[in-house]
Amino acid sequence: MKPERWVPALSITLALLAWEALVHWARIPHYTLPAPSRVLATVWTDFGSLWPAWWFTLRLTLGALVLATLGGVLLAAAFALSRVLELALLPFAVVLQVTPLVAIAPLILIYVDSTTAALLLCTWLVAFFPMLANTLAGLRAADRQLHELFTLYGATPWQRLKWLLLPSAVPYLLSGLRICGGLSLIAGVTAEMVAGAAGRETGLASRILEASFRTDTPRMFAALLLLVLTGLALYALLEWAPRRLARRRPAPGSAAGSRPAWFSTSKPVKDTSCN
Amino acid sequence: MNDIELSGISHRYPNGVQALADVSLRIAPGEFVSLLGPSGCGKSTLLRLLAGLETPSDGRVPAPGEGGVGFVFQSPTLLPWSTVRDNVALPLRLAGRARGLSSPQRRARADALLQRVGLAGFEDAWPEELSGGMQMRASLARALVTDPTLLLLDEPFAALDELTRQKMGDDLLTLWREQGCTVLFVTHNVFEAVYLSQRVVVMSARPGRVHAEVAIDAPVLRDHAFRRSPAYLEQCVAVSGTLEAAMSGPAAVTT
Amino acid sequence: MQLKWPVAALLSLCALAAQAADKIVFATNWRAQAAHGGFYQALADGTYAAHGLDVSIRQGGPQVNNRPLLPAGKIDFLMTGNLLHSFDNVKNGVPVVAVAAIFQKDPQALIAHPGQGYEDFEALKAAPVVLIAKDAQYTWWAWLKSRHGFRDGQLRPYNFNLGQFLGNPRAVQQGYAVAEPIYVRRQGGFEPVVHLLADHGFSTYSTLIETRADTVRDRPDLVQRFVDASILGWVHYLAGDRRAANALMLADNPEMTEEELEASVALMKRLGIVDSGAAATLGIGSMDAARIRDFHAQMVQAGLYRAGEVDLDKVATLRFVNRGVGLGAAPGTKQPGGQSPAP
Repeated sequence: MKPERWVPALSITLALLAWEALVHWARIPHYTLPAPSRVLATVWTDFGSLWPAWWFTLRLTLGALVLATLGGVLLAAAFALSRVLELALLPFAVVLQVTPLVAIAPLILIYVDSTTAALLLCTWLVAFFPMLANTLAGLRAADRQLHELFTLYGATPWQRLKWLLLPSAVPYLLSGLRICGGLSLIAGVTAEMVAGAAGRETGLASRILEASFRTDTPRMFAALLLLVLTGLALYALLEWAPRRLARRRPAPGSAAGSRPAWFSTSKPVKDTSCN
Repeated sequence: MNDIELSGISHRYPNGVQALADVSLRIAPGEFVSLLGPSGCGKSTLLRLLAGLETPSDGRVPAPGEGGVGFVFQSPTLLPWSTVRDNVALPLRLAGRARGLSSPQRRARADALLQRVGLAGFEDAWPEELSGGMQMRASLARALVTDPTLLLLDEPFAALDELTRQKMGDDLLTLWREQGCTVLFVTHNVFEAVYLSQRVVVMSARPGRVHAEVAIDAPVLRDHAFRRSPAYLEQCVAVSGTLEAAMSGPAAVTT
Repeated sequence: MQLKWPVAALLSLCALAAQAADKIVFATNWRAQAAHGGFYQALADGTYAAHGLDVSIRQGGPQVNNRPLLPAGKIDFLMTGNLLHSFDNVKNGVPVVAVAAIFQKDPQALIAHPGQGYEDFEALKAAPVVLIAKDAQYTWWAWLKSRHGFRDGQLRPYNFNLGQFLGNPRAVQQGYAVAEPIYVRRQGGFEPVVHLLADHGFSTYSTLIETRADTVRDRPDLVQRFVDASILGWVHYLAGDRRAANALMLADNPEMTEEELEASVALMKRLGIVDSGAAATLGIGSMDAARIRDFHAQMVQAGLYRAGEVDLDKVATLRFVNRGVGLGAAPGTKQPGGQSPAP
């Protein structure tokens, strides 16, 4: 088996075993640091109340991801087609990017009535800018000679966007998507934690807060574990899906149908750091 | 079809560099002309002006004939995310050459052209799966797919090895004879210019201008025999000398 | 006799002062306010020192949660707001225990705009907006829902900013009956309607002193001294000269003012928060096991806990209170049945 498969799994397993051993050997109380076995047991016993919260957080994250992707890509396409529009709107985009989420989340919750809508908005605000920045970079990354080719044959701006700019932007878009995915989860959790939520419209962040206020540390860890798993799943999905999309049929007489070179998912990433 | 007449073309780049100064040239329809010169002599610029990619600072570039222009860049410049066939068919889909062709018609034309450049069987391949020479053939096919009146090539074989370059040259000549288009071929390689063209325009640099025009005395059908003939080698020497003169002194001489 | 207590106390204090003072940290549950007055008083007038205690008071606040510090050993004593926290601790096996209850009534209240029909408590559950903070949301809000018919649809997160309440006449928000009405009067210019939860069945003690179970086991003398000194601090704060204590609180919490502190003290006295009920006979800090059981039963009925989940014996220990400490120091109180603090 390739090292890529078993080494990470082994290292995590060893770390978990070490954690378990430490808790037992040093007799750390469960309300300070619960053992992994206890955390897993808590996930099992509390699943009834953790599952709806998990589902809410998942829906919030994915919803924000989709909206941020759409918003970022559409806005980037508009900017690529109209420099004037870009100059006019980019300052606002930058302002949104640099304003800390924890400062504006409570305000948004005051102005927007529905808690879910408010949280979605908060998350979107954080996640859309990396998508915009990366897609814009990608749209600008098209080969100069390809641009001339399109000019030569009288392409309309729309044709240029559809057949040259957007395909060029795909690797950048995918990088942006990976960042966006991570940020959607973090921002969603942060917004909920800072601003608060109630009743059915609550996610894992509220469960963590609740557990902390009721000194139920194993439950905090259980909710945290679910969050981590969600983040990992999202990351894996955004790494794996592009590879599947890129897999193509090999041409006759050529080397084995490997991924095209241009379609590298490790393009230079615009790491517009999150809040 | 009329002659392509360039008169008093000058071009200055935004950064102040004078790329071309007062260039005049006349090309007969169906002629194969090479532009030969050192780097900086404006031969590529002249090509781009003729293609309509830029407008000259002075003078007017005639509009291309009815069939339009085909352009082969220095690198194959294929869309990496499209198949070879889709790349070749691209000019047929863009607005300027819409022609109302349907998808199967475009496909048929592209396939036919790929056959003529020797890429039959590679229609569904990705550009990265092709060798440098094969990619250049695809680029050539793309340039010819719209049936252009004027075919412009900007040092297309520069990156290829000698044997491939010679083979590509022969194939280009075959295509030229089949198409009947006018060809303007930019190169810095004397042997290539003499072998391929009916007339070599030698240019000098800083600023770019026509130094001399040399008519090549050779049979219409060029082949390996011609390549080894004394006539060929003599003319290469002569053109070399002209080129050296262009590179060292000013003087514009027209024969 | 009137004179017996002060003399005995003085002798003990001298004895105690001879030893080196114990350094302890006491964490509160909010920024310094009159509801903490007694503790600051004990610090300001030397009562802690006289009991051999070198006390530092560590404030809480809106974003601060001091509670995990106690089981972690970072602080020695903790102020908590109600018995629900104690129940949770015991339920989760956290070894901390309540040793005194300074407030016989929980000042926790719901406040509303006057003239909106909220004068009747029953009307509150129909309010469109009820502003509740996170801490409350996960504790007594559940009781309000279960016992009094409030719904999650009304709940809006309360971030301790009066703006939302002041701007919406139909809004209701949580508050301390001895604090928020004063701020509302100052910022909003009107006197809000106040509904004390204690008047509607929320019979918990408040401002409890908690400490670790092993502190009670290993250093009961320390606990006793701290409890007694704190009780005396409260007696002096409410009845005596509290300017020094106020000054300390103003230093810790610059946003507070002297007028607000005094107004709050007046409210505490009027509402009988500190020295009503059992405290009048047994001294401030008094706790009663039956009352704790009763409150717990109500919470079980409201669905906050399952029966048997909480071992009530572990919630509080009564050995440090109910000794009549501080009685007789204030004019008009009953004669002491209590003794001076004995180690």
